[in-house]
Amino acid sequence: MNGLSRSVLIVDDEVLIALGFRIQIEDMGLPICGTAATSDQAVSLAQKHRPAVVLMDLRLKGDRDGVDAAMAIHETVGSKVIFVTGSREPATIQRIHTDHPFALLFKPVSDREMESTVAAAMASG
Amino acid sequence: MRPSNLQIAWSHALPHIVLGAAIFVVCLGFAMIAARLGRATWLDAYLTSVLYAKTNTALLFIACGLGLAAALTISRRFALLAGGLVAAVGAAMIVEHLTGVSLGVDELLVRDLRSPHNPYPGRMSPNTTLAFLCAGLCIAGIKQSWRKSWQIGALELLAFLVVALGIEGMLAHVDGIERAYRWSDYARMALPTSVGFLVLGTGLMALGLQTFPCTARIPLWAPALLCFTVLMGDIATPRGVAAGIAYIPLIFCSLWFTRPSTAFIFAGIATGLTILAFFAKVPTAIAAEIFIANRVITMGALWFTAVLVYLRRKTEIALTEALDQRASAQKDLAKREEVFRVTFDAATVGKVQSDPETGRIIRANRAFADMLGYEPDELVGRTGWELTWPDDVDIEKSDYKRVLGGEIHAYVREKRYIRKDGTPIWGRVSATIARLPENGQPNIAVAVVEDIDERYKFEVALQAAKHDLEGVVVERTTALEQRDLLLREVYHRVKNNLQIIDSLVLMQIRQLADEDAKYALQSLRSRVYALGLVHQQLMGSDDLQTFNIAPFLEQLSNNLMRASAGRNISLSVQAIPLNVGLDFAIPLGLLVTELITNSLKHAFPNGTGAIEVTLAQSGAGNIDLVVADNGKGYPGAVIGSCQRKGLGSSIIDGLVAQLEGTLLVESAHGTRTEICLAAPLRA
Repeated sequence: MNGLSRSVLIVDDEVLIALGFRIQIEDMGLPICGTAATSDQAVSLAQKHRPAVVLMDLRLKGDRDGVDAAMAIHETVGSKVIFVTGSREPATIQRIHTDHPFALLFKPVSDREMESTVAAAMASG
Repeated sequence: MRPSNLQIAWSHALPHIVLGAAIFVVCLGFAMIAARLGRATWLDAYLTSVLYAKTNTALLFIACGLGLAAALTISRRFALLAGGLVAAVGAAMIVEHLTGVSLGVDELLVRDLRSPHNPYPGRMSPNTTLAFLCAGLCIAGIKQSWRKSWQIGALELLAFLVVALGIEGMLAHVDGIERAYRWSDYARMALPTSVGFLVLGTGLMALGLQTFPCTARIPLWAPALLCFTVLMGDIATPRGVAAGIAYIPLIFCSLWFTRPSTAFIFAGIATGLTILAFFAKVPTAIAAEIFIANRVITMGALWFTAVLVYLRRKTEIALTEALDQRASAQKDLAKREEVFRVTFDAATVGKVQSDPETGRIIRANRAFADMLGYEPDELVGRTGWELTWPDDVDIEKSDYKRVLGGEIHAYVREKRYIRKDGTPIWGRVSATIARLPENGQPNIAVAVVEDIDERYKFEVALQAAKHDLEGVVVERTTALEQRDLLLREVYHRVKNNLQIIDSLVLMQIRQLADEDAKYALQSLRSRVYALGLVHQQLMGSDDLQTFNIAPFLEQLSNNLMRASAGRNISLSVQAIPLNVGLDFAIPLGLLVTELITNSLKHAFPNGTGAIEVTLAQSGAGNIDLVVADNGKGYPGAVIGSCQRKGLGSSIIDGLVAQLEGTLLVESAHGTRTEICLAAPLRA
């Protein structure tokens, strides 16, 4: 992966959830380049830090959702996006797949799932 | 036997003939008596020789005439009486003639003073006597209940004998009475007597035909006897013409026979007899050529008559056949008309015939009239359009015009009629026009009308009900969709909250240094994860209420194995597919979580082993959950409860109780926990 840092960007509008993810990632020994609550914030942080992996929530504050952000990031940065969602609705799943997600995790995410998925995303880069 | 056409044609004339003959004979008898008793000068001068007859003859004629009239009209008993009297007198005189004794019947009522030279004054001649005997028997017998063919034949024979004896008497006078008497004593008969017998015999024959209309016919012996009589006369008289002409009645006899050619057969027979008579007694008194000419003229007259009779019969037969044909054709037509009328009138569908140009109804059946509330007669003369609901007239008229124009053969349309009470009624009309075969012009318009009112109303009601139902279904579907949306939202929020709880616990763990405390909180995370996983499964299910527990157990168990990281512990999950709801899945998931966590914590101090999770059907609709390890086990098996009093065991006991299950723990070779549960009811 050209020019991407070995770090993770966490995007979730729930601060506590973002914190929990941060702990899980840190426990894996990976650096966090930032946490974002909105789509725009996520894109700008991604463009600034160029993380290898983005943990992306689908529902975000503001007009745009995680898929908008993920598409922009995929386009401009090229990070691997792992979607994390509480929803398993078919419509949501379909929306997610309009992008090219690396993986899809459902909340609550166990340590085991988080570790294996993020590790795989890092390795694939 | 089928009566001949002539019998049919003359049947109405027969009683008149009989009655006429009876009156004539009675009058003749009275005239004879008057002539005998009167002795008037004028009578002597003009009529004595004409009406000369013996008194007995006159009396018997009167009796015969009365008997004949009685047989026809009044009573057969009187006919029997009169006929019997005549026959008795006749029989008595025959006995006198044969034996020579006098029985006292010669001068029955009146002394015979006119025949002084007669050895037996008043006694009738043998022929006359025989004729009266025949006539008397015939009169007496004809109205008795004799119906056998020989009886009928005998009666007819008697009647014919009377005629024949009369003819013989007349023939004798043609040749001169002296000659006749010379020819045979028996041939003697006064001229009026012979005429009387001719008429009486004719009357008897007519009575026979009238009495036996279907069986009586001129039998073959009648012409044969006539031939014999005439031949005798012919031989006895040398005149030729006069005798031969007497064959003409024979030719007329053929009128009674079925085949018209019978006339020629009879003409042939008569011709043969005429020729036979010529050779039987060649005349000497007259020149042979005159004699031959006479015979030729006779035969010509016979054959001319035969041709006329033949042609008459031919025409009659042709006419009869034509009449028969017409009658049978009329019968067929009437039959067809009747069949049509019945099918038209009795049909259960409405049928209407109308004039194709004006549309006026010519004929309508009961079913159609009933449908509209009219009587069939009331509809005649009205047009179909008057009876049609105004909104439906125009479109049907266009159909009708197309049929009238020959564009289409027929049309079928569902339309409304107007009932007599003004209400509409739905009918399905099939209409066509019958055309004349010769020029194809419209002849009659024919319509068949079915009453579909009930059906139509039913269909309309059905459509309305269907529409209502569709509305309800849409409403319910919308409500269900809204419910689904709401449920997904709730599950989503539950999971988000669980994730928040997980994050909070995770942060808490960071703050702790004590390993036991950290372990306790990790256990808590596992339990929270189990709850989250249940909701995740529910969200992915079709009905948002139940899901298959097998993949759930697999995912749950695999996640728990994270705690065994760095150790060589294998896991196998064998679960039957089973649809479960939230109420069953959460306790079961927590149970598996606790049991696996326990095994991982306690069973494998040396870091190697295997854990098996099994969910299987057991008998009686129960299911068995077994979590077994091959670890060290507990010191001494405890059945029914967990050995240690920790949080995990409280949870296990509580959940088993909640699920109304039973718990069995063995720890002979590793720990085996078996939980028997009632299978969840299908949602």
